[in-house]
Amino acid sequence: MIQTILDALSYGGLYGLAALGIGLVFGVMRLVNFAHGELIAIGAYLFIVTIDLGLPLSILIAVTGTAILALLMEFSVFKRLRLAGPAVLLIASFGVSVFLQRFYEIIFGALPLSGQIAPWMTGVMEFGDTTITRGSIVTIILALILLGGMWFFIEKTTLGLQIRAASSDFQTARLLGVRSNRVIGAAFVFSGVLAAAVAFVLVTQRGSVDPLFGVNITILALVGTVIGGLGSLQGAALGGFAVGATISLLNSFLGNYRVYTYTWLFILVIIVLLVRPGGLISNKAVKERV
Amino acid sequence: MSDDLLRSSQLPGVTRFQWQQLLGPIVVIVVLSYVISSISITFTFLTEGTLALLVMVLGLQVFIGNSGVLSFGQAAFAMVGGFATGLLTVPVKIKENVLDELWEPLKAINMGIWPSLVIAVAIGAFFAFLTGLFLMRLSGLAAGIATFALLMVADNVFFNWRLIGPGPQVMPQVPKFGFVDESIILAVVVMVVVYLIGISRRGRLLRATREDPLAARALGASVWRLRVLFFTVSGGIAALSGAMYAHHSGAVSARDFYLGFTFTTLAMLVIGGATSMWGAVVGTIAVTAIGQVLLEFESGVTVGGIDITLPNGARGVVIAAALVAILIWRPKGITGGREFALRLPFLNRP
Amino acid sequence: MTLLSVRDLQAGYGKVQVLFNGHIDVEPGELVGIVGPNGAGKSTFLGTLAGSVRASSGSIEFDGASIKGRNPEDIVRLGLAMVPEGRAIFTDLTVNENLRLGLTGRREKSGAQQAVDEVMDLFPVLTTHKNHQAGLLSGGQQQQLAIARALVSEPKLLLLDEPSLGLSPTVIQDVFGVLARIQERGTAIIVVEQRAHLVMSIAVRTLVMREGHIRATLSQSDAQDEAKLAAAYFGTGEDRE
Repeated sequence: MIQTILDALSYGGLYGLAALGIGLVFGVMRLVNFAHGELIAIGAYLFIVTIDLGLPLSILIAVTGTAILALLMEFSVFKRLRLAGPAVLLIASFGVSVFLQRFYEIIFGALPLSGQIAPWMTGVMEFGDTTITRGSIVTIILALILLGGMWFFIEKTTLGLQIRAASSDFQTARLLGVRSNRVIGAAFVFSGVLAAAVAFVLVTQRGSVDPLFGVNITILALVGTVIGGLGSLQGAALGGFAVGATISLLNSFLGNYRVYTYTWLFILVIIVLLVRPGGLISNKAVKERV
Repeated sequence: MSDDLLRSSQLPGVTRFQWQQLLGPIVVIVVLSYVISSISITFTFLTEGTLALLVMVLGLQVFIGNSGVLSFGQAAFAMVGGFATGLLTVPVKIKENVLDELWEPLKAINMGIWPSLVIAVAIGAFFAFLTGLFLMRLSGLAAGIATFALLMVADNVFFNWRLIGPGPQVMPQVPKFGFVDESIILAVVVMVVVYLIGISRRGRLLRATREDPLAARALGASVWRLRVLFFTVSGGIAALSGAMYAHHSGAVSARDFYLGFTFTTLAMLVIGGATSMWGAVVGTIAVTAIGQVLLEFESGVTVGGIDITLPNGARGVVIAAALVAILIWRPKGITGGREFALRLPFLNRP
Repeated sequence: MTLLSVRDLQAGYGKVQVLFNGHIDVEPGELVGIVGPNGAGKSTFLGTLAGSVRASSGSIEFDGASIKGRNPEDIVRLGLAMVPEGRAIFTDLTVNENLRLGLTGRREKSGAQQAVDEVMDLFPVLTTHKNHQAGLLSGGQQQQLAIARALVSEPKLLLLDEPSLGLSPTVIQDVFGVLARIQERGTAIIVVEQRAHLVMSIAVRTLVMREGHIRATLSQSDAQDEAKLAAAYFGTGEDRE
């Protein structure tokens, strides 16, 4: 029972991190970055490939590499589409996503690469009668630290204030002197860091990485972002948490019927978009940036 | 908010019927198809498959190009069409043995390819209509995400529900087209339909709302009606594409019409030019051609004495890069969103 | 030296041109008005000055430098700040946070606290609501916040787009009273208004725009002349194209 709760919390936290990564970029650019999954994937690849150098160095490389890729995406593609409408942005991010997937296939091969990242994550701990997995505890702690850190950054720092303003009204923020490149770049960097964290948890769990590594969780994180409210950072994190926790609980309790989980989730997405385009938590309608 | 992807260089007003705009692409497709398919059986196979893709891209064009609303989910209707025609044409014995969890009436039914195609299109259009009633209330980003969700639902259902299909497995023994001519005829029919719809009064009305979102909002319900209509037509065409693909490959599975299919067809449309029928044609030809060339290079080609072997996956990388490049530098696509126009003195009126 | 000098400015959205041959001169400390009916191009004109609208041709010289085509975030750092139409405050952020954002555009980082204190003096209501969500303020208070926010960057030229929009007459009086005090401190101001009378009595010069063109420039004394005003505002037969 306790394990079930812990699983729900850890999945919730994990998906919350993923959704927040998507939400950050969406907030400042109105861009739904399908390629976020490929940020997660590069993080996982970097972990697998560098783990022999020791975990601390591997973490450094993975986080840095993911953040760099995120910035690359912004500078090479999305920056040039600043004034584009939502259709173009959506297709572009889809294109970048596929590009990177095939690119990984070329560099790393289509078959999964295996590696043991952090064996201590996969063990169990015993407390009297109950056994709980270390992985779930570590994930929860990691999620708390990162979400907490992001909260602090967004709410308490100047750059965070600028990001909040830019997410709310990009044009007016610029009129006040907020540098668009800096704010958008920061959003991408942080989304990269969050992606690396997600990659760490996932690659430790699965023990391998392949070009499509990040696709699944990104699609579900996207659900979370929409449900929680496009344009709201807390909404994204909470929405992601809700989706992750729900999936985990469904897995634990329903067993067989979980095959149709996606159907219900995405019908929910459609309903939310029809009824409240701003999502369940956010109050304002999504403003298109002119 | 600029969406150059969906703004044609052609003014929406210039839409009287012009023979060359319709015949040009048809001649190109027919000639190309026969020429290419006569090279070898492999190329016949390629042509047949490409024609199925062309129909899909045309289906995307008629909706996205005219309404300016992005739909990520048309592949769902291709799934419907492929499954429908498969269920209707696969021999009863096969269904009884391989698809034993199928709903009984579905097991018993059987008919020829052509009636099955008609029914598949009708079913696809029907589902498009039903979903369109809801989804067409959305625009922009919300529409893109909602239609993406539609695709996810369709995939989840078709991948798992054994009552209506093989679930995660493949539906085998779908009767194939005898000749490439059948695909060519279907493609030409769709080209005519898409072109005529495009220049029709309703097409012009819808495009006017694409050009001016404020006008769209002002027109309110009539825009919704138009969008539902075009979405339905697009769904029917997508279903036809799915069915064509089924009779081309001889098998149907849910993952045939999922993200890869969506990406390829969307890329074809964008690269060619989203706002014209000719754009859909050019895009399909261009992407197929690039893909084939790269396929050769992936197997190893000697150019001037130098051996070049591209790694597997080079095809996808190049096409994805081309898509992004077009979006950045030439969002109107290769054709600029214009219909076919041959610049010969005796063809053009002064 | 003339603070702002604009010549032959053309601007629009996409293929539609909205501003034709825009021109204006503003000396340091002057209050200049731009009036005209809806759709006259006034907001577009301001937008090109502030950098949120791209001018296709023409020249904009501010404080000795050309600012045409530059980004809004650079322009504000040169000393040109704008209060957009509809106030555009960040409703989810607090009053204080809104002001802090205004500090982003300051030329010099030092003196920031002093600038904030000064606007708090000008707008006492802001001190009261310092930590409240900006969205909870009344229309008039939001307008004051929007102006304060632009002022903390200590601009040399302040642009105001229809500050009276949606405000009651007493509140409007307060707001325009503040404008006079701002001007006293040496800041030049351009005020765009649909309701000409609000501006014309306090502006040294008022441009009248119609259909994207500047039809007339009226002095403060002209403002008393109803006939002249009507002619400029509504147009006589001759200047119709």
